[in-house]
Amino acid sequence: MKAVFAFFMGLLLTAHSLVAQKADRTKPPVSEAPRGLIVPKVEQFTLKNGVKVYYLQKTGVPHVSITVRSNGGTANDPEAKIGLATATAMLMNDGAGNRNALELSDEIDYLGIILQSYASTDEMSVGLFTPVSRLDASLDLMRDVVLKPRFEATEWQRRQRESLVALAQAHDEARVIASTAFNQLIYGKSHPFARRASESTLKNISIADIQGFYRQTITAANSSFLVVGDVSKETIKAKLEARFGLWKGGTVKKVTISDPSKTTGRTLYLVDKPGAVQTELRFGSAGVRRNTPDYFAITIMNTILGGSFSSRLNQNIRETHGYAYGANSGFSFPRSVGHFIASSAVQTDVTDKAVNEFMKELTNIRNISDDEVTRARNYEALGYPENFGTVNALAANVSEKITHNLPDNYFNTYVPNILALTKAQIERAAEQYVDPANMVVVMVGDLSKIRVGVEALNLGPIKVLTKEEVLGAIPVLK
Amino acid sequence: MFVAISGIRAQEKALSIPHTVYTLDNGLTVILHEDRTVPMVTVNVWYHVGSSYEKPKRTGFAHLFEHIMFEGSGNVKEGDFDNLLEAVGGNNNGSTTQDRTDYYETLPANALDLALFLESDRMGYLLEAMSPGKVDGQRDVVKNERRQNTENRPYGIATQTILENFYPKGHPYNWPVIGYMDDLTAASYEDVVEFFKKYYAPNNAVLVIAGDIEPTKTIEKVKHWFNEIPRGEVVTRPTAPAFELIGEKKLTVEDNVQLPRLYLAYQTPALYTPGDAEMDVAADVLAKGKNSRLYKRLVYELQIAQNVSAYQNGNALGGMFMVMATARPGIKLTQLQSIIDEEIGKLTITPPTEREVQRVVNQNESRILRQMESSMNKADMLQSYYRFAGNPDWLNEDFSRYKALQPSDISASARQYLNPKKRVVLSIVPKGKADLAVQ
Repeated sequence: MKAVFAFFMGLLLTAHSLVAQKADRTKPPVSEAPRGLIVPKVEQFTLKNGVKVYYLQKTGVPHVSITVRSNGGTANDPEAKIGLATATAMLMNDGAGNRNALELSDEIDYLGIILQSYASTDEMSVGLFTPVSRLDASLDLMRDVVLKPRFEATEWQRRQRESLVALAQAHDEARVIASTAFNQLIYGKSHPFARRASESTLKNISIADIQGFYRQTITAANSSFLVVGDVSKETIKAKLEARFGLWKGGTVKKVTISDPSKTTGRTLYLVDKPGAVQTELRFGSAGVRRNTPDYFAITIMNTILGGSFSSRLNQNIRETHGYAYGANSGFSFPRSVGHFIASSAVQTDVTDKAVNEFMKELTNIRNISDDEVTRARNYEALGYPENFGTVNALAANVSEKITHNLPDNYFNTYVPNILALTKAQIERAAEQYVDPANMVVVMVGDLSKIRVGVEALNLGPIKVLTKEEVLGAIPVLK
Repeated sequence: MFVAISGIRAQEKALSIPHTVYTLDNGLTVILHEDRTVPMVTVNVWYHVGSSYEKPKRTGFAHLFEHIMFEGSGNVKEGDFDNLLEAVGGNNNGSTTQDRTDYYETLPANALDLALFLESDRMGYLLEAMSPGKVDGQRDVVKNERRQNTENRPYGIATQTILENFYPKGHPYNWPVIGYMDDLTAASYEDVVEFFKKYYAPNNAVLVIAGDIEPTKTIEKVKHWFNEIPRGEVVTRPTAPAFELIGEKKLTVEDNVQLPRLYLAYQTPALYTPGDAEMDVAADVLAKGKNSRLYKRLVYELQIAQNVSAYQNGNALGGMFMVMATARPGIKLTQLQSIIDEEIGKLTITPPTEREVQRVVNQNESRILRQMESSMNKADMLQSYYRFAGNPDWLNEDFSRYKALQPSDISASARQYLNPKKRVVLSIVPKGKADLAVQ
């Protein structure tokens, strides 16, 4: 009934405008009833060799996204060879089948497709994005990249030098220093989310290591496909069978990533960046798993704290005080326990004041208003269809669903799940997952200008770290 | 092997974003495009004003003004622009370039009226809610935006330095869009009033609505919200003094960086004018992908550069072609420059191969296909074509420019525009390492 009412209201207003009267601006217009969106179920089938394929059709624009995903990633790097998974992904882009690196790249560019290998902490993937009209040719290339990478030693020499230089360049970036230090302090320096390749670990990686990692990881038993786009199930099944049907062997690879220990106490870690006109700030603690029943409450709590433009942190730091271009917060959800983080880059001379405001907001989030609850719930729930407008957006959402083994009806129950949250649930999430008394605080800026003010806040013990303690020594490069 | 490359699209139909154009009595141009993929809609307004319209000593003002547009209007309290949109599941943002200022909302289609209310209210009644305090607030935010992207970012000072030296004093592209700190400090409440009255009238704006809409109903909604806003004075667009970059201007800036970086900037044609597509393709032939000439030489073979890029940046009043390369440790920028000059020299004499050109054209076609999936991108394309090509339906013409190119066109344009004696050469080097700069 509401929808019908709104509809007639619309007609009435139109009639008014015909006689050039002014619109009624005394209150914002009432929206019509939401139109809703039913996301089709993600289908599954297996190829004859047992490899699983997740499939979702999306018509409209004739292109397709296909990803091969394999268990195992940088978390599996041996301590002495950190960088191995990333090196393997890089080298899979550098020549396959009867094409060397330049020939492969030429063919990919000529087809106008994207074909790229990646390494994440717990997963290796090869992603293809292609117009439907080029599907056969691009799947042939994808087969070569997945099944027949060449792993040429000269290509690894190139990539190794490029990676060493990139390590050096990280020392230029205050935000990289801040985020790296933060991860080290939350997870511990040797944890997969915190550790970094170094000159010695990169130089320690041989082509044989890369081939070994590939052979163990990119196997039929350890991989699956994700297909989203304008192609029928029968068509893509036949095309994948034709190219990957004989792919056999391997075992499911285990990825063990330890959970960070609970963050206790509050220590401030300062890194000097002389001359910096802004200070990079990070506040946070160990978080929670994606499959927690509190996930929806955490999402909405974070929307209110720092997950939207109207959030408290952005309003306070940017709009009320003008200390920064913006401020935000978020939770990371890897397969293991992730973290909570709030961050900003604030003007050097107000660093202490900005830190103080952050601490206030991190404390006050335990009390929220009904208005905030309604707005945040609506923001997350009513805008949800935007996640399903493009092949890429759909693929990202389906990928998350597979990674975290979310229920089959996840997409279609998301909106009611969000709208059902109560203020009490959201406040409880704040109390449980945002604890300003037990936090890591990182500041990267000009210590000669910010240190005295920060000390005067008396927020806890202060430890000064050097850039080199965080990022390691700058590689010696010739 | 697949057969010689035919179009990416199954049938070679003309590319098009179907739409309807209306003009309201007050001069507001309205363009509607229907896309029912998801129940969302994008409302996008372009005002034809940007940093090139700014007065002397008020650089950065067009962008500062953009910020102020989100701070409430006659019937929208400060903060409510975002509060109201978020409460219906919407997102919004804005951006400023040299030639235009853009505002958009993406929201569930059932709440379209709210976006129209908000956009019309700030177009019609911004000044009713304006105050010096709001100007001060956003001034601080914008200064921090500048700190974040210019002063505190490695190589962040490059753009400003190149613009100042590339365009003569008095040319409307002579300063950065973000503006200078002193000018941001000087911007006053009175400036806001004057700027709004001059440039933020419906006759200087274009409204695009793309998404889950019914065009006939939607235009009635638009009239309802926008008809009452009076037409403003005719806006005169800035003109550029005729100028030719003469000689090679060499500049060196020291920065907090590990590696030196070289920038070469050349004067090229304006957006969508003859030569623009040629230089766009030349940029990709030179520096996109492993087989591009500069990447292959500098990064892949010689391994003396960490990266290299090139692009043609066409704007309304002219274009700039930029080549950028970061040196590996121990390499002087002079060495990079001589290889770049050698490769550009070759391109000016011998046309690229058919395959090199086709590679670029095919990638452009795939990119268009990707953009066609998003209402937001389509709204932006309609705006850009309307403003800079005079016709919102210019997509097919745009792509046809590329398809029609012969390899000899690329070398002819490269010869005409990439003259080593007419350019700005900027070296950004680590502190105390001026010897690494181009001498």
